[in-house]
Amino acid sequence: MKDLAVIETILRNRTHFFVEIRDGLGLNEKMRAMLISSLIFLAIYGAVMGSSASLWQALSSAAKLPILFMATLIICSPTLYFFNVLFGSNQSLTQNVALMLTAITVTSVLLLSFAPIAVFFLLTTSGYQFYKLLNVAFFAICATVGVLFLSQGMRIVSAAGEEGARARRWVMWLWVIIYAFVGSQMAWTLRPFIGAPSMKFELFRQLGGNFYTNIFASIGEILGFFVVR
Amino acid sequence: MSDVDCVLARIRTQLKLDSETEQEILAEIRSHLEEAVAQAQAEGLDEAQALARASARFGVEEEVGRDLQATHAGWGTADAVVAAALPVLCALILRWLAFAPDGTAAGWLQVLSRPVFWIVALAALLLPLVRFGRWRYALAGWAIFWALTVISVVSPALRW
Repeated sequence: MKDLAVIETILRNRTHFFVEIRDGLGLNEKMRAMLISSLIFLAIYGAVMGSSASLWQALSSAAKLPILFMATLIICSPTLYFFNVLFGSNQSLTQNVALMLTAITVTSVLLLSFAPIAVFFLLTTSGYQFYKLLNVAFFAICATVGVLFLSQGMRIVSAAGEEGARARRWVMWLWVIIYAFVGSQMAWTLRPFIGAPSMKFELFRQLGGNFYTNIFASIGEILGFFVVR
Repeated sequence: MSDVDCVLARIRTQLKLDSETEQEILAEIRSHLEEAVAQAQAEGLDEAQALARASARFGVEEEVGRDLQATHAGWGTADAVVAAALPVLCALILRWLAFAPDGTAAGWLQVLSRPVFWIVALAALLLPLVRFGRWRYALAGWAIFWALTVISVVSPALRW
């Protein structure tokens, strides 16, 4: 229940939460709570995504989705830290990671809130492309809100050092773009998450193509321009 | 504002819960406080003294508020998490346990003879029922998803 209390504080009383991160209060407890909650919520959503194909795909996606988010976080966190330090931030790497985990936690909670809707469409529709685009839309919405939380958190946490504050805001938004690119490439590397109905279960699919061309192809098929094989 | 209201207002400043839970907690404290005040007045104390004694039994308002916050924090989120996750997990369990991986009902009767099916089904049923009051939305969602799962398997033509 203590872990969920942390989530409740993020959602209801975020300013207080960010101020505690800025002051370095209970960082380890907060990070542990956010990590555990995010892993569970992402695993549940991963299982929902994979359930459109097979039980193995559901289990595989339940394991891969948390890995996707955590691996992206680990890869991108030093960049944000060093650029922030370069522009006058006095935050530690742990404080930076706590802020990024806050964004991931918000994203994962929102994804969980979309899980019943995803299951509803999973049960009542049979279109693979539609289900894939629906999930991409859910991810886009949740990640956007998560990033807005990160932006607000950065503003509050770095409020103490006004020097370079403007540059740090720019750095944060540039970092978000990098994070999105790394995340989408990581998702492409770890695919499949949903599992095409015409293909056998694979833990990882052969590399080739990229995330964006695949999404455009799916939109093309939904609109009736062509059929994706 | 009465004296009891003032005590409750001070406790409330420490609470950051959903308004429904806050109202429930404050209503309970109010009834205990009023009972204690009435008892103290029956023993011959005036209203101010009675309230002071009743408040002292509860403790310093700010501390009481902080304790209540620590005790109840997270329950609102737990309700929402359970309401979202439980029906989803139960629907997925039914989908993968009761029906063949391709989503058809083939072999569905044999599933009924498997003890694991009944253990999971009973656990999934009993879990929300144990805390029915708080998890009523989860139970409703769970029922809808199980019904949808069965309908989608029995009548696949209904799927879009």
